[in-house]
Amino acid sequence: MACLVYGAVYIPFDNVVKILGGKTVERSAWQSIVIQSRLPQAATAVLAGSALAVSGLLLQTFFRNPLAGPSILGISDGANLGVATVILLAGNTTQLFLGAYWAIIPAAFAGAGGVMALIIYFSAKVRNSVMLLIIGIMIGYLASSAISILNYYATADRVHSYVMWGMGNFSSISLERLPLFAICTIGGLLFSVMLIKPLNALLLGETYAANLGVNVRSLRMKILACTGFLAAVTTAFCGPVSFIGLAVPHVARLLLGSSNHRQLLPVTLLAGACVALLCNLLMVVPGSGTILPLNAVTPWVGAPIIIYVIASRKHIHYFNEA
Amino acid sequence: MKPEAPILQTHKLSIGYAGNTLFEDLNLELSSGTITCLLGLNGSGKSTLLRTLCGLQPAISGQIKLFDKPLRQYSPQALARTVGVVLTQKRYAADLRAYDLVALGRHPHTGFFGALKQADKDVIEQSLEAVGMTSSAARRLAEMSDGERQKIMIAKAIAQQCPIILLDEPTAFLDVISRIETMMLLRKLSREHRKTILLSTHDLEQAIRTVDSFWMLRRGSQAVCGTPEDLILGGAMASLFEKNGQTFDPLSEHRVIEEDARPVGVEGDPSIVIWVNNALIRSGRKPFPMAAAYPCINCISPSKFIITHPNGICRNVASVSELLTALQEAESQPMPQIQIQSQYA
Repeated sequence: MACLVYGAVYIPFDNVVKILGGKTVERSAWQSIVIQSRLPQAATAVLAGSALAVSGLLLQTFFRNPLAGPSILGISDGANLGVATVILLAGNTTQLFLGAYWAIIPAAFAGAGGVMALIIYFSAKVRNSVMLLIIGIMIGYLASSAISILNYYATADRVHSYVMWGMGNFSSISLERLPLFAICTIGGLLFSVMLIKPLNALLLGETYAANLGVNVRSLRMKILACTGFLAAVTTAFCGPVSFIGLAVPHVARLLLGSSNHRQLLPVTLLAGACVALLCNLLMVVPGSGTILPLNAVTPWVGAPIIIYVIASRKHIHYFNEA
Repeated sequence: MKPEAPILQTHKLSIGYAGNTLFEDLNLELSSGTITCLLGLNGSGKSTLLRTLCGLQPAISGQIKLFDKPLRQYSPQALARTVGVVLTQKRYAADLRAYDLVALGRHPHTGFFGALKQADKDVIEQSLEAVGMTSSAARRLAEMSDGERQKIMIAKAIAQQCPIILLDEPTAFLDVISRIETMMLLRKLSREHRKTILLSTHDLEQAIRTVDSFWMLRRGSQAVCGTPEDLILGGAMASLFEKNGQTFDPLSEHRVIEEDARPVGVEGDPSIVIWVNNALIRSGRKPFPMAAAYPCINCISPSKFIITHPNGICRNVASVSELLTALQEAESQPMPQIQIQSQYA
C-alpha cells in the first residue's frame, strides 16, 4: 500500500485511495502513475519477492546450506548469461523490449537450468558445502566473464539496455505484461507447495528421506526445475535481483523458529513479498524525486541478515549438524 | 520364544558395488521379534548389507524377501512402512524439535501435504514414550546428548510402524551409559513390541549380552549364523579374530587375548580379581590359576596385592598400577623361563 502512495512523484494519500476505488481525481497524471506504474510495480515486487525467496528456501534445504541462494550459486548469473545472449546478440533491442519477452524467458531458464545442472553434478562429487558454494561462485564468474565478452562485441545501445536491465527493476513490467509474469511465478510457487512434504523428509538427509518413501532422484529434479524456473522468470522480467533469495528464508526461519516446511514455505513466501515491497520503497530517495536501482538497495536489507545468522550460529541451530 | 516363519530372507544374495562384490551367496534369515547383530571386521561391508536389505542400494544378484514377498515388488511407500532405518550419520537441521523429527516417521502414512491426524499424533506420543523421551518432545536436537538423539531416531523408526528396524552402528559415538541404554531399548522393542531388529555394532560385549543371534560375515567365506553362545563355544567367534594374531577367549569376559600372552596366576577377592584380570589382559598377559611356575597375585584388598615370583620372592604392592610395574620389572630380569615354556608349550 505504501508503495502505491510513496514514490518519486508526490500524490496525496486520499487521492491514491480514490484512484484505487475507481474514482477520478483532479490530475489525470496521478491516475496513470498509480494505475500504470505503481500498481504493477507493487504487484511485481510481491510476485518476484516471493518467487526469489521460495527459490532460495528450496536451494537451502536441498544443499543443507544457509548460504545457498540463486545469486550465490551462480543460478542468477546463468539466467543473466541467457538474457545477455538474447539482448546483446539477437534481434534488435527495441523490438525485444517492446514485446519479445518470450525470447528472454526461455533464454534465462536455459541459462539458470544449465548452471543448476552443473551445481548438481558437482554436489555429487563435492560433499563439503562451502566448497560447493565456491564452485557456484566460480561458475558465476565464468558466466559474468562470458557476459563481458558479449558486451565487448555488442553495439552501444544494446549494451545500454542490458546494463539498465541488469540493475534490477520491479518497474519494467507494464500492466499488460503483468498477467504473464503472474501466471509464471504463481505456477512455480504452486509447484513448490507440492514439494512441502518431501522437503521435510529431506531435512534428515537423503538416505533417511529415501527410507521414508521419498523418490530422492525425482525430488532432486523437481527442486532443480522449480528453483530454476522461479529464478529464471524473475531474472528475465526484473533483472538479476540479489540477496532476496538468500536472506528471506532466514528471516522466515528466525520468525518461525522452525524448519518445518508446512509453515516455513508459506512464511518465506509472504516474507519475500514484504521484503521486496520494502526494497521497492527504499529505492525512492526521500525528497529528491530520484529512484535508486533495486540492486543498490537489496544488499543493505539482505547482507546484515546473513551476517547476523552466521555470527550467531551457536544459538541458531537450523543448519548445524546434530 | 516360538519359532516362526522368517520375516526377512535372502537367497543367494550378492552385494557390493559395480566391479566390487563384497559378499556372494548370502543365505540369511531374520525371525520375528528377534534382535540380530551383524558382526564383521571394519570395512567388510556391514553397512552395504544393511543398505541393500532396506532397498537403498540394489543387490548385485540374488533375492531378498520380506514377508515372503520379493523386495523388488515393494513400492517405495510400502517399503517405507515395512523397514525403518537408523543410521550413524549426523543429521542436519539441528533446530528440529524431537516431536517434529519423530513426526517425520509418519511420512509413509500421511497424505499429500503430510498433515498429521489424531491417529498420527497418538503414534508419535507412543513412540516418544517407548524410548522414554516424552518429556523431551519440545527440545531441539541441538540441545540433546548423542544418546538422546539416538533415542529420538529410534522413536522415529517406531513411529514409522515398520515391523523391521535396521540400525547401522546405533551405539557408535555414544558414552557407555547411553550404549547400554540403547541396547536395552532395542531389546525391549523386540520383546514387547515384537519388532525384528538387525543392527551392526563394534560393541561386542554389549552385543553378546543383548542379541538373540549373530550374523558373522567374513570375506571369501560363508556367513555364519547362530546364538552368541553357540558361536563362542563352537569357535566361530574366535576364528573371526584369529587373523590379527589374537585369540578370542570366551572364558575371560568375552575379551580378546593376544596369542603370546604371558601367564600370571590370580586369586583372592572375586570383585578385585575381575579388574586385575582386566589389567593383565590389557597389558598382554593372561590370567591363570595359581602355580609356582609363573608370577602369582593374591588380591587382598583394592590397596593390597601380594605378588609371589617363581623364585620365591614375595612383594606387596598398593595399586594395580604398581602391580603392573612390578610384573614388568620381574619380566625384564632373567628368570627361569624354560620351565614355564615346557609346561605351557
